[in-house]
Amino acid sequence: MLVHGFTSLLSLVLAASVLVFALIRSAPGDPVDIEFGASGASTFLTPEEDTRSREVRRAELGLDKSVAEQYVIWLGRVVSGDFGKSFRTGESVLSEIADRLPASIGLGFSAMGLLLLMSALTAWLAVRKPDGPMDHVLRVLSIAAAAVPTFLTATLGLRWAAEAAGYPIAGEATASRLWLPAVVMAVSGVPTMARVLRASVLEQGAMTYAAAAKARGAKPRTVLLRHTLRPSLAPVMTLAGLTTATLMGGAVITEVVFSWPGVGAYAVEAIGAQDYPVIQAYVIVMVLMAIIVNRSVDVGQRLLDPRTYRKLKGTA
Amino acid sequence: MRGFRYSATLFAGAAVLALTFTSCAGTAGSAPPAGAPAGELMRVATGAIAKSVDPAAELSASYLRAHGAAEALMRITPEGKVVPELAEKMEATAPAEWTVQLRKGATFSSGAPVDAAAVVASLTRSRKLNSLAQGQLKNVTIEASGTDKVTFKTPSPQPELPFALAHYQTVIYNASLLAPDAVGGVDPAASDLSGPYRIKDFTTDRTMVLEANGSWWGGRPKLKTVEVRQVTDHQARAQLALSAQADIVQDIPSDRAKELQQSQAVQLVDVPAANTVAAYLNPSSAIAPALADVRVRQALGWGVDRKELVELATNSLTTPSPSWLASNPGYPDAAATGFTSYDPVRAAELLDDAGWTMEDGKRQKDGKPFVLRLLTFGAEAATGEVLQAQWGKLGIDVQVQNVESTLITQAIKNGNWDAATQAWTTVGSASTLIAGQAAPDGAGNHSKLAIPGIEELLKTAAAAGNAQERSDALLEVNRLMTEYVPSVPLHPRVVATAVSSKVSGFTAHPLQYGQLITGDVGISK
Amino acid sequence: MNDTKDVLTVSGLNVSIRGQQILTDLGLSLKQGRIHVVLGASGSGKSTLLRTLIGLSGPHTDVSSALFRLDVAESNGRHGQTLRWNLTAANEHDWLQVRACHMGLIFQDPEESLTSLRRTGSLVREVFRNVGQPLPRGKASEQARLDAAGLGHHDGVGNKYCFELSGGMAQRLELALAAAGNPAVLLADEPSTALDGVARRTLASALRDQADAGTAVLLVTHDRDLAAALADDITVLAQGHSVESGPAWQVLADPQHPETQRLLARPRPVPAATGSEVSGEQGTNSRAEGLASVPSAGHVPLVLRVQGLRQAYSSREPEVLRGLDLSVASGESVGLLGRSGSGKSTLIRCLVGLERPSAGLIEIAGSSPTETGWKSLRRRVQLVPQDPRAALNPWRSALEQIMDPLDFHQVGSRGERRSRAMELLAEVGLSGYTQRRPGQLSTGQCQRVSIARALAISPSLLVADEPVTALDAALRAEMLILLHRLTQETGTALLVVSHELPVLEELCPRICVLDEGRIVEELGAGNLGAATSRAAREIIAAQEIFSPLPFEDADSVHSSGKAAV
Repeated sequence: MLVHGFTSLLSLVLAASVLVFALIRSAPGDPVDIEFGASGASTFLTPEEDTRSREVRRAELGLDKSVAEQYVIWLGRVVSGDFGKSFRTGESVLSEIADRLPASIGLGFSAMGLLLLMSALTAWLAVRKPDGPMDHVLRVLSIAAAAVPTFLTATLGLRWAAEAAGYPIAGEATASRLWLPAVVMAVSGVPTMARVLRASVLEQGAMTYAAAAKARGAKPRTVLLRHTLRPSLAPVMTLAGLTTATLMGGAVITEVVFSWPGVGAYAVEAIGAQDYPVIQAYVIVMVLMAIIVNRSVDVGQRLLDPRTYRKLKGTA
Repeated sequence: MRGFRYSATLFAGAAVLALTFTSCAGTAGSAPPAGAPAGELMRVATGAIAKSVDPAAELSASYLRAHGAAEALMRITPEGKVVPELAEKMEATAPAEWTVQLRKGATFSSGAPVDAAAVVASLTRSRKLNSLAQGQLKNVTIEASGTDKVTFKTPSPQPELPFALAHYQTVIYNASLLAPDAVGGVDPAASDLSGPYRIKDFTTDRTMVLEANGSWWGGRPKLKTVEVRQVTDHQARAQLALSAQADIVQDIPSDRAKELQQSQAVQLVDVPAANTVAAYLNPSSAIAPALADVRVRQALGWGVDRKELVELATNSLTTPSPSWLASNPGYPDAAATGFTSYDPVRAAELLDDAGWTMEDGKRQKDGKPFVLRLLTFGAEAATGEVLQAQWGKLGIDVQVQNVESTLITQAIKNGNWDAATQAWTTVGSASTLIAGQAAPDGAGNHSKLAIPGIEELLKTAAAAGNAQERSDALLEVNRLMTEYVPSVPLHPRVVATAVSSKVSGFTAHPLQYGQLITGDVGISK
Repeated sequence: MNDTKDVLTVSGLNVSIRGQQILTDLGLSLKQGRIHVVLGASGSGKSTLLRTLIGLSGPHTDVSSALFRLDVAESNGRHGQTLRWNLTAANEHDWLQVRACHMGLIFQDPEESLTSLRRTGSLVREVFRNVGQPLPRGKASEQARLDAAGLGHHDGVGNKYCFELSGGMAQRLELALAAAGNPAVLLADEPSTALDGVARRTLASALRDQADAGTAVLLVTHDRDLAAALADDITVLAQGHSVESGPAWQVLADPQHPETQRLLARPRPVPAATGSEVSGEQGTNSRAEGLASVPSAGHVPLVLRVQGLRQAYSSREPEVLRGLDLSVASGESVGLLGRSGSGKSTLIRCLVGLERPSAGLIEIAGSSPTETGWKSLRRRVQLVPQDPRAALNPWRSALEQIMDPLDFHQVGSRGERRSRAMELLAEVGLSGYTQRRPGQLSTGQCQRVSIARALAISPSLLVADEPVTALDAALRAEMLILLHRLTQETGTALLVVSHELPVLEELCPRICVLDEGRIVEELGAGNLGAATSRAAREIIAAQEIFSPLPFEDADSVHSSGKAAV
């Protein structure tokens, strides 16, 4: 089981690495052209000199070899734990990512926590009286919240918080700065999650066992908390897993707007400059993260509903 | 089942631990630069900070110098003049030789002297490792003569060499601390430069904390600490200035200019940049064959209302550029030549002459409409939209697309483009810079347009010993550019800086990487 | 009978859901110690009645009643004070009290009525807290209650999740939970027809015990046998109206209303002539050869030959199929009798290629799917699934449903497929229903579409999985006749899988008895008395509702068979 899990993990990561290697190299432009374009060196060089120095730079970065060769070399280094150096800074990619990852993970977890809390509250208010006035109000609010793009929520939120609450706009990843991006990220996910939870709770509430619990004299709250809630959580947990993976990868827009020193903003810069080693390492880390989250969701699902485990075993 | 539950509990425990760890790690890195009492700390917010502390690395020296952490032998003033910096003086000692007398007592922040050997080592290393430095110091023989004199010999007379030595890529540093054959690094200890401030703390893409360099030749700088923070989002930067969370904020987006101009606590300092945004044209475009006709290109030049353009696209934060060289304050005459007025009548006549006649408000020839695809990048999107409207009045169907600069480069390389906006620097070695635009093989002459007689003129501009002769040649090249129109000059970029009213001694510099933090900049309590 | 008191009295009860009248002017009175059976066909409003009586009518439901009263003896004794609840005007708080202490409701399917992810002990604790008699702390008190419910001999049953219970255990737990706190009224829905006879017996005797202890019991059902076995009083419900009501002996002996007569009628037997005519020689042969044989191929070719079939889902769990042998000759009708958990579903899944058996041979029309692959063989075997409604795509019309397999196997031109489908619809008596979707068809009509669909590509073998379980008595006979007629006319062999002996008796001259993954016995349809295997005898016994059956046996059957379900 463990061996199998490890092999599948390895093959996933390998596949992702091949894919990202091929994809980023097929994107228009190359890092050396971008670098020369930004520096304006070409003005001072004859076309021959320009071409030559680009070639020199390409060789320096190892881009003169074929993609396959580059991949083999890269893979060989990765196996020994070396993800190479950033084209832009010349620093170890791994240490740069390790430096930023905690900020992204911290933000992702906080946003996730808030998201769950807010969704639970919203769903609870909605299911107390399905199709009642509160449910309708929340539905409208949800649609509105889902329709507003994140960058707008983020920019407006930042503006408001800076003016009204003296929110530090730029700075390190501190708790005093964490809450706002976390709220912004959470708000973007609440509509979907609250609707899923609401639908799931209502669906379970319509099942025979819920009616049976009521027929035995259980109070509505007992029916919800002790009977229907736990089975209702399965779809929510799946959704939460998917969302977590996204949030962990650094909600790019939020990180940029709030100058949050996480991997998302870092990856954007790297992509803009086609900093291959950084993009490659970022993708690998994200794939690993997604796998970890997925595994956790599996574990969570099994804890939530032990039958899941047996079913899986039964069909395997 | 039991085993499974046990491992699940373990996993949950590990997750909780990881959470705690990350949140702790988050708060641990939060300490603001301590020990800097109010009035001695300057907070700067900018779109980008140096990528590394090695001045020979790409995208590093420019920022280091702008934020007061690096100096070159010469420097360019906000007026576009070149004056000594680490040099005491710079003289032409022979027709093809310049001698630099170094400033007495100048040291690096480590205390090591800025002597002739250090200058030679530094420039040699930069030239070897950086293509821009290589371009600046091409064919120049650099020799130390004694400890405080450096001679620069060139194969032919090079009157503009002082500008090359004022360029950020030729800043002087203690090369002995850096690797001789590789660039990069973020350890402040490895970076030994001169300047009013020295790097204390450096985090890529995030912050650079500078402290006063006590041994600076210019005396004691006014500030104790400068904290430069990278804030990539334009709106967030504007907000920082508005809420007084930063003292100097670079690159304010023009749509937030009004708010800042109304604010009491902040001043919006805007100067036209030392570059010219121009719409580069492709005469060999298959989609817009009209561009092959010089009359059509001229019509596009006359058909731009530059006054309206800067009003609408930049909130009047910059000025019109009737010709390419007009954004160089060292050549005030250039602003009086070129497309000096908005002349739609002349533009229409030129188009008519070229056979592109107006029908139902649309220009067309042989039944084909005049369609033009215009690629813009970043803030130039607004410029593109105004051009679309103005050229639209001439009957041209302009399709604007705002894209990444990489894509523009790519499109130009492939030849699949009609027009694209770019901004090239005009201040520096003017003859080299304009050659980049006008010479048939110039890096900015994207269409490889050959202007008759241009090579002779450029040669004269680059080598003439007489300043007047040089200037005349340059202005003639500039005039020819408005005649053959490889590109339609529009306006300099906007350099809008929000400066807190507590800040003193701040002077805006038109160069994109001009010195922002100098020894004179201070802050009141 | 005058000394028995009315416990629950309802009159003038009207219920409508979304404006549609479900129950009209209904009157009912439940008496202490008596079992009142409400007999009605599906759709007559039985379930709505139950939910209304316990105050759980869902949303969009309007309930009004002239009188709705509950009289409960105070706890100090049978002849003490009575507590009177006026349920016409009861608020939610009153209802909570009534449901907790005075009424219990037993649902159709015990497994569905238990919260799967709760542990049994905690459910027991919860129900006693509802009743207002919280159990003392500790597992011992929970265990004591479980013991009392007859679940005690399973170790640690209090720690089991409800989904881990066998069907029998779940049923007993549900009964115990509904009866906790000794309610004055116990309402019971008819046991799900998917349950086997043993479970029905358990319920019947539990209800009888409750009534003997003084509870007023109400049972709703469409099953005349169950009604006859249990009822003290009977009310017949038709389209929401009470059409006949009275003491059981009177209603059963002399039904007045046509609906009552229809419900009480025994299903019409399949005309004997057709049945024996076709089964003829083959049937006699197999009966004669008895258990020992797989009928020899002889002169009639075999459509299906199964030999030594084994299936196990994991090495740790017992095998579901353990060397099963079965054969069906061309045009023959064979019954497969087995209780839930005997391996029926697994066998069917193997036969139609949904599962790959772990060992053994399957041969369909002479070729083995392991050699030729399922692709070509799939058209030879078609399945009529158990729940016709679930098996039909709710978005496609009846005609499209029948054309689907024709399209899939690309039989003829589009026009030909269409006319073939129309023909089949006419065959099953649904010519006017071509454009109806399953939602617009009754369950019986859905079943007809399902049969027509299975026959569309002219299979050699039709496997019918509990073909009439979902239907009520009146429809059952029709459906059996239809199945019989169609298979005879088309010469299709038929394998009917069921736990209901009468169904098999009607259709199949030869009946194989499946138990614990093996064919344990082969019986002739007219010769059931000769059954020797325990499984067959139990099923036959359970069929006859009056014959007693010990609980322990039923339980062990369920728990051992659980893995296969």
